[in-house]
Amino acid sequence: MKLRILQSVLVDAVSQVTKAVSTRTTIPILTGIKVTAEEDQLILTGSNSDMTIETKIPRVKDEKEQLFVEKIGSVVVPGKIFAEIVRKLPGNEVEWIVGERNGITIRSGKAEFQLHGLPSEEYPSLPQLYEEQVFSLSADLLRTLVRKTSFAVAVNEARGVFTGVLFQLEEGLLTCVATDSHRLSRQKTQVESLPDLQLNNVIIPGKSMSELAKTFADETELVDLVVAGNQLLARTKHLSFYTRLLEGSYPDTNRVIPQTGDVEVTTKTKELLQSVERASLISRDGRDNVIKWTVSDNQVQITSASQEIGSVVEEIQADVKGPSLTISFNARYMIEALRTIDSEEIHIQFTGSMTPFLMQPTDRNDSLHLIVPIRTR
Amino acid sequence: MSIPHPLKGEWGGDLDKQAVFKRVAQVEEQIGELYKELGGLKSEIVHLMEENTRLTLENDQLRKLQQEVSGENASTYSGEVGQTTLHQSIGNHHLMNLYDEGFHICNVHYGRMRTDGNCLFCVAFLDKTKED
Repeated sequence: MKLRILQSVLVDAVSQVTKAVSTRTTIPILTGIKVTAEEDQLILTGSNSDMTIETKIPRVKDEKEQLFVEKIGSVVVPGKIFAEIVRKLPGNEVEWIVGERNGITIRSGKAEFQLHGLPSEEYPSLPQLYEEQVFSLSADLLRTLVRKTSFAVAVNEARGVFTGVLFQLEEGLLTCVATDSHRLSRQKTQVESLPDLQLNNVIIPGKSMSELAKTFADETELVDLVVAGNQLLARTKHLSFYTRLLEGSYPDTNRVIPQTGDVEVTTKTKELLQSVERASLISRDGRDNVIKWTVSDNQVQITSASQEIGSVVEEIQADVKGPSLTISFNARYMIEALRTIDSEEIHIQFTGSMTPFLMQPTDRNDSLHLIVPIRTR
Repeated sequence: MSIPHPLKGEWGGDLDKQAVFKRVAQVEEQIGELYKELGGLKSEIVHLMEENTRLTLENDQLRKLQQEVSGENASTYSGEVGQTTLHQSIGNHHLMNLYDEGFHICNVHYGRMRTDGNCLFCVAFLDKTKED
């Protein structure tokens, strides 16, 4: 293998794949990055047991030549050290030669590194997926979905399917659900797919969701999502992201979402968020971060008290329909949900002080948040 | 257990690379086993802690019950009439009590301890039984 490549291009590609490279693993070769030079592209692969990221550097990008392959071949380079070396190289261009017994020479400016590589045949091969179940959405939409759902997954790894986000697809409508069984976020969106494609019980680990958003952070084109077996592949022209899916079946969440509401509150999202954040300053050290709402005519009174610290009372203007109501809940759940709502106004629907309440932006019906109150006795 | 110094000790100062490597590999293996054992012990502790909480709760509940029973014995017998109508809701009451005692009653986590706060699925179930 012998090639020359622009340093900045290589830095970008390496930092993409190192997100998936394991630092601690039972399979030593996974601490490396697999590099394959083909005639007109360079492929880098990083992997751990859950995720794999593969990026392709084309010979020409934006009508500028960035890669010159003189001799094709492949090798596995030591991941962490290689990433650091590449970032610190002095020249604009990098010359890269792989010689006998996977010895790697990297030259840039007046610096020359000699590294010990590993044979690429030992690197596990990527899963071959049957591409029957495919749908596409813009990278921007994908990032939004991740931002609006992944915060609600359970963090405790013992919680099984609740540590992931559920994807369901029917007639081109994608529904994403995340819950830790104390609060729930559900987002719906139209995606491009074959009309008869149906997906059920596809559960993507929460960690992979955030990595997915980071990996496609700079992309603007459409992302294809392929579901096959226990794998999900997200892919653009030059970037592939594989993740393992969670096993187990996700419970039906429709039955926990209340259909009607006795008390309805409409108010400004930002003002509400700020006042809940203020109230949570008093309660956040407590176990449940409890704040109390008293909903009455045209206002919501938010109170919070702690025996050691003190208390706070604040009133906010709101459009209220229905009888008055007192309810207590965990402020953190509301803050996290409100932060993902971009709409100016929000609609909150209560059925009682013991039952979950719904929060929805007023200008769209594809987004929904649910919070269970704290039962005060 | 003593580990000979890899450069001196048993090998008398000579750098027997093979032996050093073997020894290191051995130690690595041992550390791996220790790590596994530690993991096992940890999960055992978690198990014990869970059981402890459960027993404490059960104990409290039993004490309360005992007090109630002794209190009831002192007062008169009067609660036998109209019990047949109660039968349907007795099961639900039991479930509600279980939930209040800190257990999940939903089909998702049934019987497990509710470690932090309320559960969406349990609350939904309780609501449904209330409507019935």
